[in-house]
Amino acid sequence: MSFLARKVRGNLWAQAEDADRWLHPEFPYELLADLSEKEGHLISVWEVSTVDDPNLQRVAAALTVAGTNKEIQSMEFRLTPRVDVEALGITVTSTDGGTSDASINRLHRELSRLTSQQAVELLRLMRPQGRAFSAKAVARSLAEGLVSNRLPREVINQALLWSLNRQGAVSIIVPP
Amino acid sequence: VTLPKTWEDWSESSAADPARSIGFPFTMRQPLGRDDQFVQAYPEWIMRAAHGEKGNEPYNLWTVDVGSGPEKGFVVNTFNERLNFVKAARQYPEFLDFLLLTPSRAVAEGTSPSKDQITLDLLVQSDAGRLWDDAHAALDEQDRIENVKSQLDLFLTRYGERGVRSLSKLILANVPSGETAWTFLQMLGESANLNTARARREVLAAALESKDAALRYAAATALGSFGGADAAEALRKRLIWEKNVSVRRMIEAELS
Repeated sequence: MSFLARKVRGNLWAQAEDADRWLHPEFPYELLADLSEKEGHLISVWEVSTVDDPNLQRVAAALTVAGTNKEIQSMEFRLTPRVDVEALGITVTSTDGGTSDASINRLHRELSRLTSQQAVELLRLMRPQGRAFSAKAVARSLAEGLVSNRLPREVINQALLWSLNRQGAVSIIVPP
Repeated sequence: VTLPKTWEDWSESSAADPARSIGFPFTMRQPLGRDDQFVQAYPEWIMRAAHGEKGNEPYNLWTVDVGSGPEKGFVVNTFNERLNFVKAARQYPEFLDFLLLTPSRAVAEGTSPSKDQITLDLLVQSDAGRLWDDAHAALDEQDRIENVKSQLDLFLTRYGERGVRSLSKLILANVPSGETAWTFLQMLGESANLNTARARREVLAAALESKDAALRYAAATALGSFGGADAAEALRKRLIWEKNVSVRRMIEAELS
């Protein structure tokens, strides 16, 4: 059974954990923001084989490189069994992830044409299972990606290098 | 840095090193008009800094809103119009301390209105409030957030642990917490300011004990970025009691 992982804002989910707020048909409305994309109606997710799939950490590293943050930060994903998502009638389509890491781009999926009811039910499915990565773990994965050439060297800029150094993932050695 | 004792000292060092200027925290509001009694409470060299080298240019007293508003008695009088005065405060943090102590002395001598109860804490609070507002307005734009980070660096350099305490009041008091508080916790965790390291860690540890789960989550990630044995110990202690599954998950990730 595979899982669909969606990057979320963990703060919001922590705040929305109160069981009373999930009593059917209610739900914490602010979490809907975690399903909206800046552009378009498609919801970006990543398909992984298990909750502990190491590919998810690579996804975290690739998303960090693609993001605008200058500091490497912790990241959380919520995971839902794919069959449960499809059982809601939601269409799951394979698309290219478009990240700098070609090895994980094939894992990218898009959920499309959700109704409001499906969106709320999807949030309920996302509620129980999550996986968090510390900034250090993301930095480690990023450094490994660079060393193994999964990530091209061109993604490194001064800010990223400094952040990798701060997280202890690389050492900066200035030649004499 | 030595606080200049005379106008000549100040004027000379100012001309020698203009690059020392950093941001000035006050938000100027409406003018109150000339107040000779208040003005006379200050040494002559400050007057000259405020009114120009010749000392004969017009000036105003201004009230400064320090965030909590006059209804709480937080009204601060200072001078504007003359950038010389601002420059002095920018270049010499001690000048600011000196300036802030002066009205209290003036009140004791009966030469200044009682509303001039000024403390440095109030001014730092004012600056922290401005920083908070800037961050709140900048949340959706990464470039502006980077600008707020730079402002925070200056703020921490200028006010040190006192500045961290002022920010912590805003962070811990705004419950339920929101993106602004989470952003500040993250920035406090990532800051490279060594002089405030202990105070920043203490604020993050305090936020980790907040009743607000999102604040605890943000504090956990910030403590992870902060790093070190003490931060890890704070995380371990919290993990013993933590009931919120999301916060637990993040603490465990930070400790792994």
